[in-house]
Amino acid sequence: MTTGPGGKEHWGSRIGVILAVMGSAVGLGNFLRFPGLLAKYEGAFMIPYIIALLILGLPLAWCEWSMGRYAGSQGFNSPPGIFRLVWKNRIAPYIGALSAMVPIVIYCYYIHVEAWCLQFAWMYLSGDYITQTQQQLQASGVITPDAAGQLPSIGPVVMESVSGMSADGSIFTSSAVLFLLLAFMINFSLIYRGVVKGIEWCNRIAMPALVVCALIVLARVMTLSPPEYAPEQTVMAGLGQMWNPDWKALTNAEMWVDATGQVFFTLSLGFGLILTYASYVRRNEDIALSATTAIAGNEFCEVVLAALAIVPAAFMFLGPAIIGKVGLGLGFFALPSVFQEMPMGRLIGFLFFFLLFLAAITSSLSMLQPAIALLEEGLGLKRKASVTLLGFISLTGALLVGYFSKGLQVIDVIDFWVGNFMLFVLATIMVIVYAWAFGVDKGYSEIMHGSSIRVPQIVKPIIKYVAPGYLLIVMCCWLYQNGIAADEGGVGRIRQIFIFEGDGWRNSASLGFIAFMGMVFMVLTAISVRRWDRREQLSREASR
Amino acid sequence: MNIFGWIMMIGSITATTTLLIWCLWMIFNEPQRAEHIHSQLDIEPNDREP
Repeated sequence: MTTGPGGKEHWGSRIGVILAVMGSAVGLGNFLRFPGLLAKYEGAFMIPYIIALLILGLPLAWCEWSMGRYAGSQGFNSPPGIFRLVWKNRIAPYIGALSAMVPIVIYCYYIHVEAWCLQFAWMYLSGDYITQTQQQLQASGVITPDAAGQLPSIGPVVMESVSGMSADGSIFTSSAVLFLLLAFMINFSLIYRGVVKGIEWCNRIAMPALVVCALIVLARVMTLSPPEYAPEQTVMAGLGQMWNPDWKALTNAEMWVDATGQVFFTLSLGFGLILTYASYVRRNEDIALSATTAIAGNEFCEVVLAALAIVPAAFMFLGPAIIGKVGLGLGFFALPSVFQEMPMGRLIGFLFFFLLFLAAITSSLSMLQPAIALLEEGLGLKRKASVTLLGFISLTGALLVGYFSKGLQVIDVIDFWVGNFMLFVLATIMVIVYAWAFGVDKGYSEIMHGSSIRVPQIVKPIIKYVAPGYLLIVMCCWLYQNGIAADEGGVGRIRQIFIFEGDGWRNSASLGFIAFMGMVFMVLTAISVRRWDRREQLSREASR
Repeated sequence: MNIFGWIMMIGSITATTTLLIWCLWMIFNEPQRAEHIHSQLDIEPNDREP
């Protein structure tokens, strides 16, 4: 039997691993993407969302948890090591390398968003920064009151200085770089402390704090009176904008793709994070109930806390114009003007951006761990060396992404390919490897080993046939939407990325960056495989 | 908000909250297993520098 080189590092407690996986799952997507999608497609969105959650989300989470715990019991914690163990094929560790590389590439831009959250939280906490900025901008004529005497949102103006989207390299001449380095140092000091003292400790504090912040924000939103200039924009009207179903939308393929994508993003499925976290679970410990609890906690944050607070608040102060805004546009451009108008807006603004920071840091920690595990078990590095090497790689990547910040084009291109496309690809590979290489019967008995609940047998055919088919259909629809269909109305998203003239050089630079990171991880994996092969050969010779 | 909106909202919130409460209840009411007891060997040796 293959036994990995890893030590006996385990989670300190069961609730610790549940909070860590929940923390990995609860991220910016819960608070910025889901409410935006729900408002865009209205209540009918919940139907494909729940179907995707039951058919893909829950079974895939059980797959990852069981494959991870099994590999951990054999001493493997890194995705290349885990893939090599469960799939006896020479390319398996290199496929697994993608699961270590993708989170690091995502980390290189995610850390910027995390730093923006920290900076926005600091702005709201540290006095009247927002008001002062607004007054300065008004005095210098950058913003002027509208016909009703209202000042326009300063969100875009503040965001421009925070993100450096106006010119390349501008974050290095503002305080934004300090917040970037601070966020980076917090991440790496926690990773250096290890699984128990770093990741688990952070999640034990951050997750309850996040829920408390979200409950205060929710309570404030639910008790808001409509603004004087729009008395019809009540909380109820805002909730109606989100939840009243339009049944015709069920025939909209785009909604099904978005709902499935959201399930992947929100549960951190497919890209090796849960696989690595689960490898630190003890062999006889339950995983079925723990996985279900982590999903339930994530859904609570998403469906109850985020959906009820964000869109109604935005609708009350900004009106129907808010519908269709998803992600960064909702969080960093629109919501600051909501807090500007809202009574107690400064406190609520601080709590909101601070909870976003907590959500982001618990997710970014999970992005680093697969690569740390690879460096330690593959290259045999100690903690200090592995953290230093990964810190160098990811800081270089993050600074490059930060330098080429004009229009946030580089972040956008990397997110499109790595944060969207690669997630579908990796999830499809993961479920196929689990169903056809690891084996659904072996997988099922692994899920049931030490389980506190009974997982229905129907999960076997779902994992073997339904989930891969569903994923392939969704991936084809996604490619069609962003390629052929989009091309009919102009230049589609995929073709746009391959335009390299003018500012298009950023597209080629972004693709080059992804390719370079891919090469780095392939080389690291090749070295690891050689070491593992040699160690196993020595072990066989010793046993003769 | 219309009646279907209320049904979607209350149904989603109730289902999510109930699932979370049930999971937590199951976890906190489960007897501890003997093999969960930590031993010296289990204390994160990888976190230590030589």
